[in-house]
Amino acid sequence: MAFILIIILMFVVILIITLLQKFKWKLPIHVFFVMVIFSIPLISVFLLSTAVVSEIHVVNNPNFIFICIAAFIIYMNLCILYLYITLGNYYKQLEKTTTQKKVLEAELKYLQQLKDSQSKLYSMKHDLKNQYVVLLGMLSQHDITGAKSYLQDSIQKIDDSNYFFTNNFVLNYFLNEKVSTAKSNGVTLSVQSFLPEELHLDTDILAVVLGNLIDNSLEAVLRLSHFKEKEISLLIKQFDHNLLIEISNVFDREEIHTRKHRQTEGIGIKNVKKIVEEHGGIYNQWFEDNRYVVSILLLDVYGEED
Amino acid sequence: MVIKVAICDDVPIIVKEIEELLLEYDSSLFEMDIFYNPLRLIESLEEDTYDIFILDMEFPNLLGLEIAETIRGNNYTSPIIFITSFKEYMEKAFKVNTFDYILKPITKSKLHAALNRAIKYLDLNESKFTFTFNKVFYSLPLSDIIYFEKNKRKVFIHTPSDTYETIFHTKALLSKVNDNFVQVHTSFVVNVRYIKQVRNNTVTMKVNDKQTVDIPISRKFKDHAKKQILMKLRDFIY
Repeated sequence: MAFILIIILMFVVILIITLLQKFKWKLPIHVFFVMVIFSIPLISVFLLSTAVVSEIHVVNNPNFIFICIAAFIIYMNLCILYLYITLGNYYKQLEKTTTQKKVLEAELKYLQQLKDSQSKLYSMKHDLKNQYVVLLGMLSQHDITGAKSYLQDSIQKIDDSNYFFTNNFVLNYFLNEKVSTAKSNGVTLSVQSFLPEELHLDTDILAVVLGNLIDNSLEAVLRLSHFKEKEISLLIKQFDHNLLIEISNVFDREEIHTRKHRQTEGIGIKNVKKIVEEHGGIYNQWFEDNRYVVSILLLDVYGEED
Repeated sequence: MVIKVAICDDVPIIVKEIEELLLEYDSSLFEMDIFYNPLRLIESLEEDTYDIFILDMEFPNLLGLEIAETIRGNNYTSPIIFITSFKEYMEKAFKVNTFDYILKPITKSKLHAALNRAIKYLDLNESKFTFTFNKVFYSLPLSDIIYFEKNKRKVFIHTPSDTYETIFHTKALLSKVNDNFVQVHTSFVVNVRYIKQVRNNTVTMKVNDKQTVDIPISRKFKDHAKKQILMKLRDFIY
């Protein structure tokens, strides 16, 4: 009797779900998934009731009840396994979409930058003509020093509006973001980069290392209230199959004593050290006058594969 | 000591600028050959060789990169310094093992910094390692030595072509070499310029284009040796 009841109940549930799906829920629902979810409480209620009721009613065949309970328990376990696997898959997918979204966002920002630089180019073209006119005027007046400094100024302007660090656009975007974050905090982050086109290292690894280094430096620089010049310099440079990453910032020598424990336990520095070591690199940090320097050498990171 | 420099650029004004900056760096250190046409430079490479190349990246018909590739065909180690206005193209230059690049306009500070490093890299006062073995006197340039291996009283000196044998104490040995050499193990002293990889307890040395050899790093020397390697190689890049 109860068995039939359950089956009927299940059908009702499925019916309700399918109806609801049609009218209300726009999201697609896996029928099997729903069945599994609902069958667990239903079966447990049924099992409980048979266990209680059995002694009075269906005593004539105790074996049947035992088999029934065992079968249901196995069935429930299978259901849970199935749910577990589906959830696992779901999370995997979620993770994938999140990373894809991030990459897409980076690409969008990059596009935006391209747009910006395009419009900048237009205005530069405009300016160029005016500049030529000014230069012509200066030259016809034999004002050579004036013309020289004028030219130097405009070259400087072009260099300043440079958004290019590397052809790896994810890294380029990342560095641009960091530069603008620093800028909004009143810190100049000057980046000197000369990267090989292809690295054996993943971009994310490089991004983690650079991100941690830049964030730490930024924090350190922001702690200095009495220094006027807040400046961080970052060098990323290749030579002979090796890559050097070096970051340095102005540093308050007082902190050598007051923040002693932080020198070895800085946030993220442990991570950086670990990553560097895992990839056959060397990490070092030291003080130089009033600068704090972190230097990382990654060996054999580009060029021909062995 | 004279450093032979090849300057190749099709714009005479820029060549003149570079020339003047080189003379300002040191009026007697450089012997300069100037090429307005890159093909002439390639021709001259057949009979001549240079210590430093300063090349324009952009020529009307030929890319600076192609010239660099030809240079690398004959000469593997001389530093190449590129002059360019477009940083965007520079990343392709890692293939020819570009030493450095200078973004136009060329200034004193940019060129002199690059020259400083190049000269450091060239190791001009080419120190020699001298020793006697079996009553024969040997003198090897330090830059040819890949590593020293100590075995009891003997010292084996490994170079790309040969292995020599002599007798030295470790202390005496270390006092005879320059700071390019780092002790990584009680019985091994390596030349950082030949290091290809550093792993947790080995360091891989380049013997030649194809061969490498693994040298053990011992716990005692590891931290200090690694830092020394970093600081030395950093000097060439920074």
